[in-house]
Amino acid sequence: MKFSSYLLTTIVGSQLLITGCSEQARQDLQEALDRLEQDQVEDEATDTNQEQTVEAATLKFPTPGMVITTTELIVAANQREQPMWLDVGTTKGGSDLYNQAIVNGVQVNGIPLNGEPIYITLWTELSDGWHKREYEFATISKTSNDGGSDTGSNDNDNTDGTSGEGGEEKPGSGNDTDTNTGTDTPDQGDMNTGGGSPTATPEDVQAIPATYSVTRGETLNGQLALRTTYDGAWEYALMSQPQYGELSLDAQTGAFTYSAESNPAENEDQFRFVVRHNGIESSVASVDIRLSQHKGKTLQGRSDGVGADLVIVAEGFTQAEMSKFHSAVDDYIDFMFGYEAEFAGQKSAWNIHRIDLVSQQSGSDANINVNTVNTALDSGFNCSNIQRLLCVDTSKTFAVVNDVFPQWDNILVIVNSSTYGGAGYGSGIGTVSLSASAKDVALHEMAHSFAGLGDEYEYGGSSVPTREPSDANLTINNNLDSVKWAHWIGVDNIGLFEGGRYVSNGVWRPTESSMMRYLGAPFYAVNKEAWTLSVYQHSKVLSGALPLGRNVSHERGADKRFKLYPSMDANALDIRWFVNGVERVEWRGETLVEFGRDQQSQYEIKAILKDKTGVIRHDPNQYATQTASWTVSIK
Amino acid sequence: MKNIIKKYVISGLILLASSFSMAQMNADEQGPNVNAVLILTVEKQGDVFSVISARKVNGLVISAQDKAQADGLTFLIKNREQAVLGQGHIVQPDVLRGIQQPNDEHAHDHMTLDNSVFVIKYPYQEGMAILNILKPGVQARSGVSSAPVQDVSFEHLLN
Repeated sequence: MKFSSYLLTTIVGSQLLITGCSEQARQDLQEALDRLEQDQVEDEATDTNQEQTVEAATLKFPTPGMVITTTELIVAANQREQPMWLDVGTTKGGSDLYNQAIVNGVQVNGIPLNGEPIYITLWTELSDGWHKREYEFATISKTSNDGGSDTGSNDNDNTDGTSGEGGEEKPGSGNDTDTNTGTDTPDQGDMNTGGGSPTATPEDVQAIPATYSVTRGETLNGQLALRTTYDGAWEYALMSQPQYGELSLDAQTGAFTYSAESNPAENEDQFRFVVRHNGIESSVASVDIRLSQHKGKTLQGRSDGVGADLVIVAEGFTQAEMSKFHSAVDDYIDFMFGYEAEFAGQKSAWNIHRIDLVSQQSGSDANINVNTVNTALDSGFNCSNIQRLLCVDTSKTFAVVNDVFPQWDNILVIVNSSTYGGAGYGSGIGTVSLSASAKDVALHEMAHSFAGLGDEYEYGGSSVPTREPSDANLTINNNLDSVKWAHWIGVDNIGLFEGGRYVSNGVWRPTESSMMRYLGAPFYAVNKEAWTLSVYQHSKVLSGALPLGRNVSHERGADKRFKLYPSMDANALDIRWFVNGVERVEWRGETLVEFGRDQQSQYEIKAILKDKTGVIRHDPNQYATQTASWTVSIK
Repeated sequence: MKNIIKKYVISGLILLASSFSMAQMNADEQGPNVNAVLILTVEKQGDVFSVISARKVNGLVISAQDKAQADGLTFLIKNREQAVLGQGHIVQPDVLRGIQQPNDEHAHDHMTLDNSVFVIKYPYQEGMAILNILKPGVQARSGVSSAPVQDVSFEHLLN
């Protein structure tokens, strides 16, 4: 049984007992409950004499039909008058996750997100005994491993429009043709062969779902892709046609052309395809196409939301100046991935997109309150009467970005002005001018919104926070043994330095300087760790694995190939393989192994991948670790 | 005879509890295997929220979501019958930071905007129709209602 050790509430009348949270949280919650009690009294005053039928409690949350997406689940009943008992389990009627009396609501931790259902049984004690109501909820599959750790949908036809589910080939730009064949077959030189003569089955090939964006009325050159552990002349075949554009496909290479209608009835279109070879056919994959009003291009990565998505938007650039914007974008990308040595190895986890938003006039308003330049996002300096503060119309910015690349995690607006300026909106938009220092500003702002890092400078505030800041680099705990970055003490001169989060006392930072204190300074270990964990959180360690499905098989006496697709550089990972729980040391670091010819009965094969760059020392959420496993039967 | 507790109060209480606990647990990750996303563009004017656009986007997943923070917003997404279909957090959507001058720590500003626009993304479920935003820290301390700020219907804006 597991239940929250962080916050446990018990309500007895109007008395509240809370454990596992801060004093401030306790006070706040008590205040809320006091008001709740007052509301109840008022309700009682207005609703007296109403007949009430006492029935077994029902579930208030989660609501029936809801798909569970978090490992920490609030479970709440619709009443708190009668005694109640809650069982939560991974089997019907089970209680392996929670088994405890409740008053109205609790938080249940450790919900397995494996695509398997969980079961909630809510018991209520009425006058004639205990009555129960049973509920079943689906969970999402948290892992992106299409193979072992996910028994899910990739075993079946992908008929629901899913994109990117394990589809980890880079779908490429909406406007550029990729000239490769879109086939990812194993590098035979890497293969650890155990002998045998492996043969392909449908679980050994995957048609990769993809998402593209194309401007209405324009033509998209795209590239279908597949993954397989077996070489061969795989062919692409359409299973459905799009509705709002003309499609032509090269069956041998997967290259396709889609000409979008100028005025489609919908803002999305879709077609489906499979890959075939020697009688083996993959499951169906979808290609979703966003029919946008603005011109965008994916410079690297994928377009379905998996990974860290940076969208860079032009502001104050006329059509004739768009090449100048492209150069600024390239400069920023080089700057960002070159800022710390470790960032370069993370580049493949990022999806970078560009929107060539055309303005009627060049430049930006010197004073945002005086409209002198007609630009697409109405940008201007002197925002809030601070000369260097460069603002944009955030509503227009979101409208443009959501139209073309709604998967954004960070938005960077590059403003066509050489005046020094920029800003960072907490909502995810950063602005920078073309001034030389602007790139530092943009990266600093991304560290806020992407990595959750706080400002380490001391200016501008007046009060010390009463709760521990959630920022990885700020604390009110000045105990070296228990501070949140205790695992880094002594490295890079990391310690406790007083001052940060806009005050000079009562808040500590890990280093004397850093990028979050001075522009141009290094990140240092604590901030690099937070940044890297966020990259892993977005991209996952694995972008996919073959064969598809947890339960796979092969012929007796034959081998089978097992392939991992890391999201980032495989050399940055410690990769270990296990067969029936015993490590195969000779396979360390390999992404492709071949095994099985000597096996006489069902066996388990598992790979554990973990970041080994040394940038991460503390990973409580296991963002930088992932497992792929298969149960293999012999036919 | 005790009365039945108002639905919105219960919702607010649940959110308060979840918000405080989430802040300490560093939790709330959204897995990748969801295939449609609800995107709401929300305008905040003072304490009044309005949804200025709503869109369901297919072929998109959310690989990570904001974590609860003391100075962030917590939101509920409900159906027409007020059943809660989802909950999440938005971190400091109304903060605007100024820029630094190189090596000058006294050249950076930050402020809280009275009027701001932000975006909420959440895995889409059929029936999503109402946004409900709760700002737990401010509300609890200010002594005003602990109930969610308001219900904002966005169903009519969905494509």
